[in-house]
Amino acid sequence: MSTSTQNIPIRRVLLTDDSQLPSHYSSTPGGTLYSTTPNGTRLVYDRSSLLQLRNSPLSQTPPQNVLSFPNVLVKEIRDTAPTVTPSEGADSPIKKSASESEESQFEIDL
Amino acid sequence: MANFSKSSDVEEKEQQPQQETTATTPTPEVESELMIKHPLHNKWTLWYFENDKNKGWEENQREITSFSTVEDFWCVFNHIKQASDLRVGCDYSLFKAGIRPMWEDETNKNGGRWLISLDRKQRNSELNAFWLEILLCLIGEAFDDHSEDICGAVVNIRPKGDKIGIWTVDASRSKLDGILSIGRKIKERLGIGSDYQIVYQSHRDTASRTSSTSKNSFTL
Repeated sequence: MSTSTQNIPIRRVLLTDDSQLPSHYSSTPGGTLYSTTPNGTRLVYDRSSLLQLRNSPLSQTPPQNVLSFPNVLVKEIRDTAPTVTPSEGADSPIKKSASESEESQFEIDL
Repeated sequence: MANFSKSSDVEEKEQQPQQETTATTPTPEVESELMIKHPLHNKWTLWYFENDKNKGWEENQREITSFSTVEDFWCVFNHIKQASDLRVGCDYSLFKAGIRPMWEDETNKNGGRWLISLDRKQRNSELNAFWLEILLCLIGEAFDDHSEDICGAVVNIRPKGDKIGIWTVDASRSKLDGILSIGRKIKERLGIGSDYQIVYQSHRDTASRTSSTSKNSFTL
């Protein structure tokens, strides 16, 4: 309980470009996140940075455990039968769920 | 007081060997942009509640997935239905990992929520935009000093009108400044004017259904 009286100081780090990211994943912009504890850095993202990252290719893939999601939650895309064309299958395997990629690869092999 | 298990966050970030290796080799700008995910300050868990009368309330509350980067948040959000497309009686909740979206949770039991009540017409206009805006406030840590006090947020899809609640850790008077600051930020980010009131209630009051005139209730 003694720590509850101490506020965590905040240093805002606004990213305008990906090049401002540190090269190591374990560090944060403006310094390493936990090395300065208790005066740690809070990672703050404003709405425009977040919205911009929505268009990143990394933001398009289905979540890893999407197959365990309740069916009613998943957008219609997955509910439809796999209609992946061979060319799509070759170009963007990352965009498909596991079940779809199995099927399309089988077709390519034929 | 509020322990949001920072140590688990550290582990989370260190368990990313692929990113680590790609980042150390010099890569063209486009490629590095593809490789690096943006770490969030907290790890967040998405919950889904479905009102199955054959099951208990807690059983109906399902943990769906967790994420700790901006991109992984979008991966989830881009692949699940909008709040307005959920069936009536269902909820989405987004809470810091380790906090369950219920009053009984150790972190929530002394807490409360800012409540935004929408009328039925707003399901097709404001609901989805409001919910996304709240999610962005949470994961982006938009509440400055008071972001530590945030536990999570809930959207309820209900026949009489949908509701969005932003849950904080401590509803007591001593936290009034922080609570009001969070409330003002919510109104600012949602573009809600002075003609529209949001209400703060402690979970204890909500649970006992005392009127909104009780001590730990504020409006903005």
